[in-house]
Amino acid sequence: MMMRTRHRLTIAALTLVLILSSRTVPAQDAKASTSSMEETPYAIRAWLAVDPQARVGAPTARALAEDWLVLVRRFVGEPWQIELADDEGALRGRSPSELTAEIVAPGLQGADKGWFLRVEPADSGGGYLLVGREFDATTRQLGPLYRQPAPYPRDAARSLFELSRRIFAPVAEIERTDGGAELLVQGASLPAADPIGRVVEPDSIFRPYYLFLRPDKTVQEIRSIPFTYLRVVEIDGARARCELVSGLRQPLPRQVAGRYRLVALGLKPADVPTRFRFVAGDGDQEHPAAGYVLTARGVGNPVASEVGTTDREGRIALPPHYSDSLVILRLLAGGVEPLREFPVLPGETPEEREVPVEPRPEAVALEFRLKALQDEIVDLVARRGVLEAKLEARANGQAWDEVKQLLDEYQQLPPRRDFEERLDRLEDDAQRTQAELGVPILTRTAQAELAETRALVERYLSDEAYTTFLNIYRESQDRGSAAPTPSAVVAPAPPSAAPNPIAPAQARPDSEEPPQPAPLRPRPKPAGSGDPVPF
Amino acid sequence: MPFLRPGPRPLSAGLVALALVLSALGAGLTAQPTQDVSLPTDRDLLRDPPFDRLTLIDGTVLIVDPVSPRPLPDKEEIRKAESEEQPRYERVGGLLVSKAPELKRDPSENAIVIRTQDEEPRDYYVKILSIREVDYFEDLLLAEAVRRARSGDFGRAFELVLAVQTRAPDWPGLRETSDRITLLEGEDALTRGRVDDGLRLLGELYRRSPDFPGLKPRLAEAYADRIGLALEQGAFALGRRVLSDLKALAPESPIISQMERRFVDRARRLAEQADRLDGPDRVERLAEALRIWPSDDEIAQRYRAAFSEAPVLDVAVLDVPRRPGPFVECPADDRVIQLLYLPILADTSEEAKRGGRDRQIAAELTSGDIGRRLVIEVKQGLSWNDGSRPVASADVARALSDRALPSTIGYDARWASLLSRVTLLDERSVEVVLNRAPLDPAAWLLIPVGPAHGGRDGLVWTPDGPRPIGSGPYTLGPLSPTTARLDRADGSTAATVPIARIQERRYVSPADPVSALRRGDVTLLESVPLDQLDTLSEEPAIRIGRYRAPRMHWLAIDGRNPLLRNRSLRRGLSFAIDREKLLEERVLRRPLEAATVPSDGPFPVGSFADAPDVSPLAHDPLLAKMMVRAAKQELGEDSIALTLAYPAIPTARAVIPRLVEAFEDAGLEVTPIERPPSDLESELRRGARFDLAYRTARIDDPVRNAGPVLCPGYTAPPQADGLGALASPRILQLLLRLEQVQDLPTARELVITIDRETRDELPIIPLWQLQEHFAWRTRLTGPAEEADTLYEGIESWTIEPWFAPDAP
Repeated sequence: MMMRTRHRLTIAALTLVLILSSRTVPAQDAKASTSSMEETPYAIRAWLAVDPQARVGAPTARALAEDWLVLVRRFVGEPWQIELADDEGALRGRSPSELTAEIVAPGLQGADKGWFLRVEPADSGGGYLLVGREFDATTRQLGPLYRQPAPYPRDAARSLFELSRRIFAPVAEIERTDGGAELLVQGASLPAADPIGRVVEPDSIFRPYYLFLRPDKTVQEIRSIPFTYLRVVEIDGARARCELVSGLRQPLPRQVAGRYRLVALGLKPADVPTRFRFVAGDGDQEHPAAGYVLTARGVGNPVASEVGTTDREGRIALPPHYSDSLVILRLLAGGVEPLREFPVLPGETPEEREVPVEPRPEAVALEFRLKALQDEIVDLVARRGVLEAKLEARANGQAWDEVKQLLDEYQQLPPRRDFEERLDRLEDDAQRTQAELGVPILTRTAQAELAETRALVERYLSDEAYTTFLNIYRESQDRGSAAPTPSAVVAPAPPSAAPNPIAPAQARPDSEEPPQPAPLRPRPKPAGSGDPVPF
Repeated sequence: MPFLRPGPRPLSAGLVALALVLSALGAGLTAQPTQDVSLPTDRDLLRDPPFDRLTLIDGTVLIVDPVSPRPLPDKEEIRKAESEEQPRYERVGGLLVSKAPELKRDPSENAIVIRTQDEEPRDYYVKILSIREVDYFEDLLLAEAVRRARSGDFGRAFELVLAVQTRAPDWPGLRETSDRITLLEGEDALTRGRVDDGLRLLGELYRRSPDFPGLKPRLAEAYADRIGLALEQGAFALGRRVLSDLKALAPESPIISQMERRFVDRARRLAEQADRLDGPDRVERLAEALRIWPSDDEIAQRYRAAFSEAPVLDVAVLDVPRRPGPFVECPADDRVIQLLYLPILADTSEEAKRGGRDRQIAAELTSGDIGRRLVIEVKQGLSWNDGSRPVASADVARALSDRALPSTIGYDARWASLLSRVTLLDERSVEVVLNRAPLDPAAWLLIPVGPAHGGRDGLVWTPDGPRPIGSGPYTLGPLSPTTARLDRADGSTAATVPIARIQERRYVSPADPVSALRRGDVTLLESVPLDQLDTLSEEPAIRIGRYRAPRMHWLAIDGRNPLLRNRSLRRGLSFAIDREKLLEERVLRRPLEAATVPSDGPFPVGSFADAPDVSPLAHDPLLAKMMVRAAKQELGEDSIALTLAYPAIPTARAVIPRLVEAFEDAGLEVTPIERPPSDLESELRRGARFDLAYRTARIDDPVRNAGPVLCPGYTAPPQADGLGALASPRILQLLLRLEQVQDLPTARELVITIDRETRDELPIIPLWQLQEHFAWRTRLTGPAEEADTLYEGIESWTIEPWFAPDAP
């Protein structure tokens, strides 16, 4: 039975408060001094098992292993020191998917890594399916299951080598820098036999861990830093300069109690879905965050795409192979209010991760009321536009009776101050409620919506047109039906150069610059616009 | 041509006249019906200018403008007149000598002016006596008409006849030709099997020319054929009517008694078959016999006796269920399910929870762990209708578990999310553990229960094949796309359920269920079209009832179509609809009423869930156009085409053409697709894709119904992505939050918020709410003036036997 490990993200924590667990982790001595880490190869103990249904005899399996080791030496060389176990070890009677850290750890005394490889029959067609996963002794992490098809049995060794490249996760020591972090990667100084055998490459992804040490420098507790990744930007010898991508404000604080080491373990995406469950509330009030929209964008890419909507249980999954590199996920309430943003490497783990969110119902309600208000304003602008066009035509034709009717009709429309007052009320109510309840209502998104709505009112609900036509009408009445010459009746200048938000831009003379198209409706800032979201 | 002299030139061109005197010999010139007259092949009689064809005495044939007068005077008379007028000989000195020709005779006397239809038309005088034969244009038309009729081109034939009628209504031979063509056409129709058309034509001919040769025997023959055809087709009322017409037409015809004998024999054969049947089958067989020949008193008496023992209720419904089993997939299922399968609880009242309701399985419902744990105690004494065993906890457990399995028909995603496990405590008790405490646990137990020994489709295998076995007072009999039969279950008796059989029928257009009720073919009508309510209520033998809850109508929107996720487009759709006008002009055909009004959200006016401060949805065609245009710009589309599926119900049929028109005016291409109501609704609930769909429902419980109303596939399996149909993420979020709520005040508040925000978000396009009615004939006693469901209180209904006699 696969053990489900839940990674809980603490809410609004500026520093990590670390509670030393009373349960100790089996002793694992601290690594040798970092100065030799980059020259230390990986002591890898590998177990290779064969599924009886794969129809691979012992001689064939031996040959496969030997050929594989040849490839390892040829393409990787020094950094990997592989010891192939004689027996199946933890794989006896199990597939790699059934392994747990507790099962495999005892067999790795003295080794840095344990590889659990199995040859299985292919799902369809000929050949095999090679599956494997790695257990890292330093961080005590059992990696996800990787699958590598081997359609040509004679070339299975190459497929096995490819699998081992995928499951291999380099280990590094983390050094904090001003801009991010630097990694001193184990074995990085050792020359690889071939470029593809290099231990670390640019764009490699690492996950950081705290190894809390006892006074005797054995490891007492290992704690991962959730939703935090290091992305290798540049490699300088054994050192890799990294960009820190995190959903926390301070993922690597310096003020950490206790003796510890900061290490990082490499990550590669496996072909498994990446599953999340979003929950809101605490304790008895906890409930799934159902119906929320999840978007994703690449790191540094401002454009986000919609992944989907959480289901009744607050669950949603990124499909396998969603992306080979880090993505920034953002959960939106009502499709507009960002609640949570964090990075993830799709395929990092098959286990479902539970992510708490603060639903902000009051902020979302405010935003949708503002949207409804914007709809009203847009409708009003359209109706005014129609009336103004009619007024112009009637005034030019000196049909003053109709002009009067139209002016009366215009006056029946809601005036600008109505909207201003409603906006003021909304904002005041929001501020008051925010203060009373202590919950965020006037969030960045809500404020942006407020600002957009005010801009709509200011820009498009000017009374200038009405006033102009009213004056023209009055003049005509004062002159006692002695109507001004048609040339004197001109349409009032539009209140601004901005075109009507409803109608498309009209053709303009070449001498005029085309105005910037006004949005039909104010749009919220696109997801992933790059602004940090407070948590 | 020596017989032609140029005629007078038109005045404008001057006049030069040369007179010709021609002696005419030959046939008279009176007009007669022309037989087999050949036509110039380059002439279209109806399009080209009219003409006459003159054949002169020297054989010259001329095509000329129609001559005048028409017809020309009789040549014999002219000849006689000329000879009397001036003898050719005179006595000179006792000798007879011929006279010199008189040159003083006016050349135009007894002559006509003709104008040739050549490339250069010319006018001539022609002595009438020089004309051997005249083929008048009218005769040519009539001859051509007969020729066309003989070759089957009756349309053309009558056009030709009509042309003659227009030119000369009194033309000799016109009427005879018209009659002849009618006869030909009638015979042709009969020959081709279009018996009704043939009868109609021959009947018309009979009315205007009863003595037309050969008509009567042909007509009698045709009537006999028609009656025979009606008998074969089972249109017995029609056949009897035609027989009655024949009696009036030819009372002495021997065919009459032959045909009557056929009716009587057939009816008596069915009556004999009925003797071998019992119960409602006997009643229906005798009713069939009476439908053939209602005048047979003996059969009528037997029918009344059989009906008294096993009354049958015929019901006209909007649609029938689609498949048997304890599943509610459409409104038709909802209508009959409680007659077929008892639910766990009849309602959510305390009495029901204590087992105080008759029509339920639970003897008691207890809850613990703040509503997360339920224990259902099953009543004693309930059995399955196949007599196999009593209803037990295993049946309840199966029903509850199956509804949480995506592969089963009755799957409900909400229940699947709620249910943790079901455990059999003993033969009579079931424990249900939920993942969370729902708002009202009892509301989840109103589901029908089928036998645990049934298959996944709810049917039980018997030696006679798979059958739907239930625990209700009725069992489901044969099911077809338009009929459903419910028979009193073996465990029920006349004392408990007087009506032995319910025969439901869906009337497919052009058949009309209201007419069927008026005729008496059905006794109960599920839904009275609102525009016929007043006229129907005036019928003394018909009573009208009212459903308590109004029915909401709306257009569902599929947000899985990215176009429909555009807010401007949805607003444009809403602005395009003139709800008030459509209601008044197309649905009600009278002014609006209190309970029949446009709606602004999913919930009825007056319901607690109807937000009070929501302004009505406006109709503004100009704004609609603007919104649609804006949507096209936002989406980068030049045109937007959508489908609109609608159920074949009177209200939808009345308004759909106008809706489509309104959407087209706004700039959208909308294709309407009519579907049977049960098919449409069950597909939508399973999560099928659509664009727009016309839906209706009564909203009994806004908290529970909000989701399925706003999203058709709300309870569909996850793979159908039913929730994706909700075009508004905000509304989806509110609905899913509503599912989690555990206290009533919060639930009410949320529902009101949903109602309010639906107006702006438009996950659906609200249309209107209608106060709906049902109707029944007074021979049925028991239905109440007001009911929640059609069959409410059916245990106490009684019905008198009746069959429709022929009108005198």
